[in-house]
Amino acid sequence: MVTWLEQIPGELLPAIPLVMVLLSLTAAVAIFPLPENSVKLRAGINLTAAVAKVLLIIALVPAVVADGARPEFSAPFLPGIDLVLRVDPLALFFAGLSSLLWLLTTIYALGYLRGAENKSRFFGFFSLCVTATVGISFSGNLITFLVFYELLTVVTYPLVAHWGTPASLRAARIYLRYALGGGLAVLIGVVWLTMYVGPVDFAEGGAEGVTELVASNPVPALLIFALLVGGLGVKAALFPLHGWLPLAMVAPAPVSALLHAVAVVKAGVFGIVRVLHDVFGVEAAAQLGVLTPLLILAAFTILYGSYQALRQQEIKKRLAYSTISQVSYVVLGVAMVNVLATTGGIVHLVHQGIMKVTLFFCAGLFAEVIRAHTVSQLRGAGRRMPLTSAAFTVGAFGMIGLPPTAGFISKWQLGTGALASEHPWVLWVLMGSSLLNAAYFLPVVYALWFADPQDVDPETLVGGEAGSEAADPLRVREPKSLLVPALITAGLTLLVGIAASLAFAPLQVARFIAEGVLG
Amino acid sequence: MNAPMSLTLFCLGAVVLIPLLASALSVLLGSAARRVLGVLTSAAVLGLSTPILVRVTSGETLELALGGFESPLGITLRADGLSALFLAMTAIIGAVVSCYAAARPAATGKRLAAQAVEPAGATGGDHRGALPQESPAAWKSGHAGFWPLWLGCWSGLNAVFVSGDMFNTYVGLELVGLTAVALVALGGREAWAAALRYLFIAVLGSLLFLIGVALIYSVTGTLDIIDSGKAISELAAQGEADLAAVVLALCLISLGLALKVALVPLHRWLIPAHSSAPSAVSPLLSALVIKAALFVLLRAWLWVAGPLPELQILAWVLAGMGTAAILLGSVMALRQSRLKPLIAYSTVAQVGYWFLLLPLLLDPETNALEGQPGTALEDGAVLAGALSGTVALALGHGLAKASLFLSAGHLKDLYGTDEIAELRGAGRAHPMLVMSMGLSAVGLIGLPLSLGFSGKWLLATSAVAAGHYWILVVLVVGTLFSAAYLLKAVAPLLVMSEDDQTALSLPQAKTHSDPSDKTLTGKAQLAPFVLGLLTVLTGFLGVWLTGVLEVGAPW
Repeated sequence: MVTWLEQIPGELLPAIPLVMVLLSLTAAVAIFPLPENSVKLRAGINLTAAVAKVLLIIALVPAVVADGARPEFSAPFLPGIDLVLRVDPLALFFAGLSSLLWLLTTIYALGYLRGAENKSRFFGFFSLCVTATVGISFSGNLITFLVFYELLTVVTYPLVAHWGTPASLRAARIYLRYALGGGLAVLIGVVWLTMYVGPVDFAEGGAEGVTELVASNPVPALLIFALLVGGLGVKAALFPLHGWLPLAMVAPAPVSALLHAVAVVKAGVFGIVRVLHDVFGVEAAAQLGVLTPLLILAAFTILYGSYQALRQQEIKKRLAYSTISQVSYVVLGVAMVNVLATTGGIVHLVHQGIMKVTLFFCAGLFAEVIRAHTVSQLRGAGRRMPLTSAAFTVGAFGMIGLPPTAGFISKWQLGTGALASEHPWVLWVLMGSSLLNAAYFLPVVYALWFADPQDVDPETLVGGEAGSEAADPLRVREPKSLLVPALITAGLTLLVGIAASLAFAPLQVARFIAEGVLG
Repeated sequence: MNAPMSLTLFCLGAVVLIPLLASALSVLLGSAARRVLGVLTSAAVLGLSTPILVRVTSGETLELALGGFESPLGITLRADGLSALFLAMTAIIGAVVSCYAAARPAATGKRLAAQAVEPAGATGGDHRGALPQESPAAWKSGHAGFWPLWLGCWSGLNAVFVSGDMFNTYVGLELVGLTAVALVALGGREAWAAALRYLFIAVLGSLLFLIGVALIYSVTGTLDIIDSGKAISELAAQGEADLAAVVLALCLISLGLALKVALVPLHRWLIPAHSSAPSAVSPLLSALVIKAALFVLLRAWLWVAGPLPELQILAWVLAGMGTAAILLGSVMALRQSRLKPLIAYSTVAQVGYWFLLLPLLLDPETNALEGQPGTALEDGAVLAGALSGTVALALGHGLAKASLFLSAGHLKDLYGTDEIAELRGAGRAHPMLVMSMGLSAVGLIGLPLSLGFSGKWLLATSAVAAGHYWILVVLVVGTLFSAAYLLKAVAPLLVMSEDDQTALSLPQAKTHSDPSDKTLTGKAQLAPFVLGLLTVLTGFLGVWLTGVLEVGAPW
């Protein structure tokens, strides 16, 4: 299959980005009108689209990374401005992450929502959400990016509000308030920049005309940069724009995975990387003097997020603050402007995604199977749900940055990058953050494996068809469709860490991208 | 694809005459036959508008002298880009709403009908205005008078859009205004006060417009729009002529049309009129009727008057009123507890956007960014961008607002109320209606993809290019406000439980006057959905729209 796909004829390549966007869109359109009880058909459409997308991504890798092809599709949108979909290595990197995790999250969601209401609506918007994410990753200019970025805001609203409880509607409202505000800031920045330099096509080393703008008009350029990064920082949950993220944890677990690992937060930070690398270019950004403030902001967010995570007793809230901290590693990496650190930042896009999705899958499992929502309720869960607990432990170790997990690779790159940069103090931030990570993750791991189970909820014993082999009366069996994705991502956390030096491993692709940007 | 020229010109006359004839004919028919005729007519108008749009898109301005008399003697019909776009929007929205009204006769109003002996309180129990019980008449839903009135209104709209001279414009406006008033009155006794108020406004507005036209005629000696525009620019070029009469005329015209389009502070009549009108009427009023006044306003400012520096003050006053409309309309929308008044206030707010371009028209230099490296704009682009932005906003508003009012009216008919608090959770039983509302909210907020986004983009870029940064601020504030009030309208429909544990018991569908009305759950719900989808899909038309507007443009 793959060998056949590797030989995509060159003339078909430009159509692939469009096909990939339309694929999820078609899935959404097909899913919305389905009646609630056509479970199999809905699952079939979802999985077909998700698998097809992963295959297309795999097919694109050799052409784009090795042969340097840049498949491009464009259509007129506004006077003088086209909608452009273009595949470059960074786009492929992000699209690959979201496609793979979408597939796993879909499997997870199918199991998670079994028996829940409004499944067609949920999966319809779920597919639209991924449509938007693919569009964001393939956007070839700022306008296209903006269109998909706003689409993402709109279609995640019903997902966050899915349960229809006052708490979830409130969280969704606050999310929308933040995201629309951020979107407007980006819009103003884009309008302003477009007036100066025309449609802003992404290009390695900075878009056409922006460098001249920075040289001749530094003040508007600075304001435009602030508007763009500030607006994107809302979704990327940069301090002080992170307030919506911990609230949004009332959403269903697959949606949390989507928000934290696959789509929303990632879209924000991906946008920041795009603005820095492909709109302004690192040299122009350095000339503007924005890199050091950005670095300091990212470093502060890292420590602040970790500190807040330490104070949370609820598992999902702790994970949410951990996301705020971890996503800023990406910004930290690209703001240090050397190949090592930038590689570390970009590879963390994927690594954080895989690790965080594992943790959210497990948190959802704990909540569903043994109704454990807080850290103390997890006591002894390792005996009751060993596989889930193992996956959680792998994810947690990854977040701390222990070898041989993916997190270690990211932190190693960032650390060596920090030493090579003008800001060696960043190393202390990394170490401090790792200590804090350990401080809030290790107690969870300890509670899982070494604490005695207490107050076992008798209902959960019934639900899990306990101990037919009578090995352990407390042992519960997790639903497979929830457990398997969690195990796969936990395995991937280890795999991308161990096999980081293989060709086409995330680390290598990230290095390729960083070298492309920094020469 | 292109129909022969003569046929296209025939279409130009027919889009006005066919609805008018159908309107007259429908008076003679029974109510079922009227519905058939109504749908057939809308199909005909849709068919007749297509060749006009195609021909204009290919770059020609169509002109038809009725009866062979050329202007200044005869009646000239003319279709340029602006006409074609408004014509097309009206045809699409008109056809969809006609289908809705035909599928749900109950949505067309209420009538007093003679009644056989029936237990007291069985009908119309929820109407305060119901007649005393001993009366042999009672309110019934459905009013066949909808069809002649609406078809007449449609004819008037098309007449305004293809009219080549200002007197026929006046006649069209008057026809639109009077039929619209009568359509409001179909809403039953509680709508009559609103209709009467609307009647005064509509007549006063037309009168002011007519006086303005007469003043222009006294200066230019012609009623033809293009000829008078030329005459005025010649007078302005001579420099000596006193243009006070033209300025006064434009003041009167703008005031009259501002009344009709409900620009703050002249908006008070719109709220009761639009919110108490029947379900099938409110979308027509909000999406189409006020657009006729906007269309004439654009004609008067761009085609007749041109960029006279003497109009500076008036332009700023109107733009100030527009800004006030956006702010006040949004704040008032946020304070409503009922769905239809909220949507009506949102119309008041959206009207404001269409007046922001006026200061740009008089100051269309791309001075702000001149000499910048890579500045991509040419001269004239500001004017084109501002006009296409405004037209895109207006057309996008038409589609979105028609969809929103249809959904809201449908919900009101279903549950007998449009109190937002009582409609909590209605989305579970009617996902398609909520989806339509969501899609139209995207259009009204101006999120991509939608015509609203394209419009805001075009307006914003023109504003920045001309150095009018205040427009950017207004657009941003307006966008945030519109998101807030639309969220307030839509979010409660998604509620599924009152607290975090228990499920919500849904409001029972208490169909108010006619429990046998099966049409509420049927295919009629597709109508708002189609319009909602169009709101989003037209987001791709930004380039095309700008191109079409170049046809017959005044610059």
